Amino acid sequence: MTRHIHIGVFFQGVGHTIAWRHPDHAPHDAFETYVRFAQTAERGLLDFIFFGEGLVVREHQGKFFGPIVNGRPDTIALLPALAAVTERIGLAATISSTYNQPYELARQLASIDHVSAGRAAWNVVTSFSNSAARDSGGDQVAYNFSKEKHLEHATRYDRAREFVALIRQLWDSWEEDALDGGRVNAAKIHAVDHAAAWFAVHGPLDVPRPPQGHPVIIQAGQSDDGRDLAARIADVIFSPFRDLEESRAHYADIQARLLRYGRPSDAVRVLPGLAVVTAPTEREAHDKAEAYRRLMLTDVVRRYLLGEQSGADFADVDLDGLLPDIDPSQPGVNGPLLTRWQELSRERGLSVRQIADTILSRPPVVGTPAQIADHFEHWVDTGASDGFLLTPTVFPNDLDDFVDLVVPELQARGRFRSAYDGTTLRDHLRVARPAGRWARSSASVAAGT
Amino acid sequence: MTHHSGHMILSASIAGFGFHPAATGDARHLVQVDYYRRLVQAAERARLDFVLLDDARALPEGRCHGRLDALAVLSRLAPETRSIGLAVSKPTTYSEPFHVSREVATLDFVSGGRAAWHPGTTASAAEARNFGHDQPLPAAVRHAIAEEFVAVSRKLWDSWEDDAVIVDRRRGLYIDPHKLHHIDHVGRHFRIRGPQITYRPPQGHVVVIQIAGDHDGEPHTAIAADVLILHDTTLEAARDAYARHQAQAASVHHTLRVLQAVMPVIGATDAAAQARADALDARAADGDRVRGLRLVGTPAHIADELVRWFRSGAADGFHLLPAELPADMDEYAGLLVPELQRRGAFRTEYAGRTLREHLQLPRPASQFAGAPSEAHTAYHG
Repeated sequence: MTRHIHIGVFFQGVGHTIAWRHPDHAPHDAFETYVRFAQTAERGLLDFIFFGEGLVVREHQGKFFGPIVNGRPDTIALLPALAAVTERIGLAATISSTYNQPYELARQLASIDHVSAGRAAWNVVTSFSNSAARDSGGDQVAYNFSKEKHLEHATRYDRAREFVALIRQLWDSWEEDALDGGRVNAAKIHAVDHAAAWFAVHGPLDVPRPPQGHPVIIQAGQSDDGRDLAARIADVIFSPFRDLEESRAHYADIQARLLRYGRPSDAVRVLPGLAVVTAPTEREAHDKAEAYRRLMLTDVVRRYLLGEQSGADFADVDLDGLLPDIDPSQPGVNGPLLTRWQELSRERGLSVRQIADTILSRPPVVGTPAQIADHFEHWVDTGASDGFLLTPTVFPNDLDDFVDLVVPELQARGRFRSAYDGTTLRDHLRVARPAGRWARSSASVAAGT
Repeated sequence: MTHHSGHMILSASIAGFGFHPAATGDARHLVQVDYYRRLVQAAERARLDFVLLDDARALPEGRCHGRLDALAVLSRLAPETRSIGLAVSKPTTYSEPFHVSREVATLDFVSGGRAAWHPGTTASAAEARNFGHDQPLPAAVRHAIAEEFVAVSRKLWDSWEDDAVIVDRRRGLYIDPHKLHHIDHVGRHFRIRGPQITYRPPQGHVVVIQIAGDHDGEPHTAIAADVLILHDTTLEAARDAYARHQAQAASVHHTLRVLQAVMPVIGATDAAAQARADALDARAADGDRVRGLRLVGTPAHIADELVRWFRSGAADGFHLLPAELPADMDEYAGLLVPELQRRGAFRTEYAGRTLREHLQLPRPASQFAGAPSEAHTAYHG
């Protein structure tokens, strides 16, 4: 039996270099752009649309930078509005477990699931501490939340594990049939009485159990802690791998971890990020990709992004020369990252500009719809992924092209749905609906035992 | 400055099955979008200024029914409505201003400038226990937090100037970096650097609603709300309160709209209305009492009373507390509002696009406009 291909699409906003300069690129600060994005993805029958999170405006050395995209609507408040203009597509939000409270987020996500009739997903992140934070001597994210410092990596994951377990208990605090007959049956609503290292929450939630049982859980962490959390809790895993072998190894690693936690091997969908540039002919596709490559980076932006990532100052560095000696131990500088760049520069003789292009732009997969479909099939059929998370460069063009050209090709090959066959995101992804911790006791009651 | 159009402001709360303690209904409806769509669309048909969706952070004791997050419901209904203001109840006591100010700014974004926010406090023990506290915070602390919360939210809304996003392809500038600002707020309860990560709301500031005596029995107008809802029960008390609050606002050049809360109980005849009110009261548990002003009678009688209060300087308008939902919202649209319109006291069509325009509130300029910025000049090409 051929395996189902699953496809999500990422709304590229903040962090997406300078593709906004393309004459067709839709404005990020207009609600209509988000409506079009959601409706186009639904026209293509994709599994879900996905939004990132950043809790600081990107800046470097305390200063703002004009050429890159900054600013985005709040996803929690945006997704219900997008539910109103779509009918089936999944709606995925990235939300930090480090800067939120479980009770509040539980009711927000449960409510989005209710108002979308079962289409909500949560990408659990712990919020990274970026280089800009280091170079201002503390942590920029924490500064927006009345805190001095971001939590350390291991601590953040410890909090995330407790957060997710608790939020699932809150979603389960109403039994499925607590509202049967239109009257609240108080015996079927349960406190959670949680008190542990991070949180004390009495419960129950004031929102009945979400239509999907639990909204879909997504994880993308690549550290050992991150992969472990993913194997325990995730329905969907995003991965950054572009290389087939790396991706297979990651897939196998996740399978091994699933086994360790007693979950079936098909319990999660692994979706690497992928930029696709396609056109009816190979020539057109490559011309378009070349035009995008020229559009993506300018020297001004290269200097800024190298500085933002490393914490060092690249304002006056010669871009045609080798990477200059910068002391990786100076305060505010990301030492390990800078050392890697210096090795890259020395070993391969790369100029600063070439280093920037290597690390800052991830080359897309370019080709005709048939070639793109081949790529999808090859990855899915050789155990490297269950599909992809698309990262369109220019919106709406690239998503339109994918939906109009690649989706029909995959459908013609019998590898992608030709209609949504379910109503919830769990249906689309073919991941199980959690039974809930009270399911067994209810069944016993029903059976009169 | 008072509201001069000659038209009163009319708004309504929507939550549960209505605000009479005896109101009941099918509990499944309260988690269905259809229920809230019906209410909000009826309110828009009635040309109300805004609807306020109440919310809380724990299961209510006694009348134990579920609910949905108010922000999710109003954002879900924003694309299905065109003109009506959407007011979200979002408490401040256990929340982060960086999140809440952004969420309500985004409600303004998806509704094209129709958002309002009631920054309430969380006073119940049940709610405290859902946020790591054994006991609720003392009222004075809750009020101090709320006051600073709103002030810092206004700073965060202002941290992007209106024209910060320029999308200048020729010069290669997506934003004008001089128009973003660190707010560097250091207060008693919050320390926030900013800027916010979303654009300035279409209305500049989301409309801030304060409800006097909210949960706690003491007004706190220091929050500098745009709309203040009072619960006076006599015309004299209402006029005194109105004059006092407007004088206070005028002394700091602040534009304030003062509304009196009222629960109309409508009937085809005065006797039928009274019979309905009596039946409701008889069903309510002992001790459950309707707070504030109640007007019982025909639509014409209630309209006469509202117009009398409005024209004698008791309020800029009224905040309706429906006794029973969804029925009462249909009566407002079909019976009460037409009576007010016949008396020339209420709009027949929406004139403006944003909630500030409906309320005739000025759109505030950013407090950081023209302030020194922190733009990167080293990287300018």
